[in-house]
Amino acid sequence: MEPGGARNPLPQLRRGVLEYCVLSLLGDEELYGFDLVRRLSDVDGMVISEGTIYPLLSRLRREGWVTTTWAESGSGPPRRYYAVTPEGRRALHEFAAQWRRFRDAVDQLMPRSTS
Amino acid sequence: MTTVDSLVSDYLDRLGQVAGTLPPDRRAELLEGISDHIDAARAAGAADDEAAVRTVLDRLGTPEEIVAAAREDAVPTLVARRRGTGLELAAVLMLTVGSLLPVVGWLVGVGLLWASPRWRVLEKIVGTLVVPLGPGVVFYAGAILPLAVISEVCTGYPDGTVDCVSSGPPGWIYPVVLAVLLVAPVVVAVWLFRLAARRARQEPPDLVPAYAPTRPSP
Repeated sequence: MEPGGARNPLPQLRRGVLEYCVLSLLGDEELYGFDLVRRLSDVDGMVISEGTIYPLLSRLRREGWVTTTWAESGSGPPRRYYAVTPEGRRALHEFAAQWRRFRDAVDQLMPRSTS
Repeated sequence: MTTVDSLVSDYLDRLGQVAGTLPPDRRAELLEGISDHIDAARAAGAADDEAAVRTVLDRLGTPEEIVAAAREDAVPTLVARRRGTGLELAAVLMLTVGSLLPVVGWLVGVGLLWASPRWRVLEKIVGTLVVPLGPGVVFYAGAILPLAVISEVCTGYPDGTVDCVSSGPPGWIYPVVLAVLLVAPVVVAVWLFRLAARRARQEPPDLVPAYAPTRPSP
């Protein structure tokens, strides 16, 4: 749980953008679940509960934005690898453009210093 | 079984229980994903170190949190969608203007008329029978019929007089009948379309998933 309670808009914001962050990470290379989750949570403030990424990945797969393949790993059992589909890539680029506009708009309105 | 193994299996058992409310395939996929995650984390260094494995589980979040996220993702976002009145517009257009394509155009119109759920049976019957084959057929008939029906039979007599007897009803009646037969279907069409448009506005919107699944779940 995070501070701020019901008034804290960050969980909602995070939920809205998280899937595009996933798509963006997968835009460069195929990743298996653990790697993807760790890269996301290495970015400060992006992921609170790593386990919640898996349902998100499952939905992205059902939506056809992400595909999965099983591949042998160097050590241990085969792993499920995730990759972005052309539709997923299209959605990502659309969002990226909208996001830049939105981010600039909010930045214009927010107070300059955090004091 | 080490302490660490039982830590992990307890966690997965609890996740399995809490996830019991999910559709079976979602539950299986979730359990598989989390279980692989833990294995990968252990292979990447956590191994049998209890503190490290506890950290892995903490970072995953509680089974309740994960299943709550899965439940939100299991329900597709629904958007309200209303069906337009394109079908009904096409129906009334084919029944009127379309009937200029003899027979076929009107039949298509009748098909569309009966296909729409926005008209009651009685209204469909009126739309069908107001002028069978539609105003188009009246339009063509208007050009031919008077010539065929209004005829005069003239008889010439040897004394040079000609006696003509015209048969059929008086000539003025044809334009009137034709006008009525041409206008009536149009009036009915306008009435039918306005009914359908009003009902379309009153219908509750369909709730459909915001996305269409493009690939079947394996």
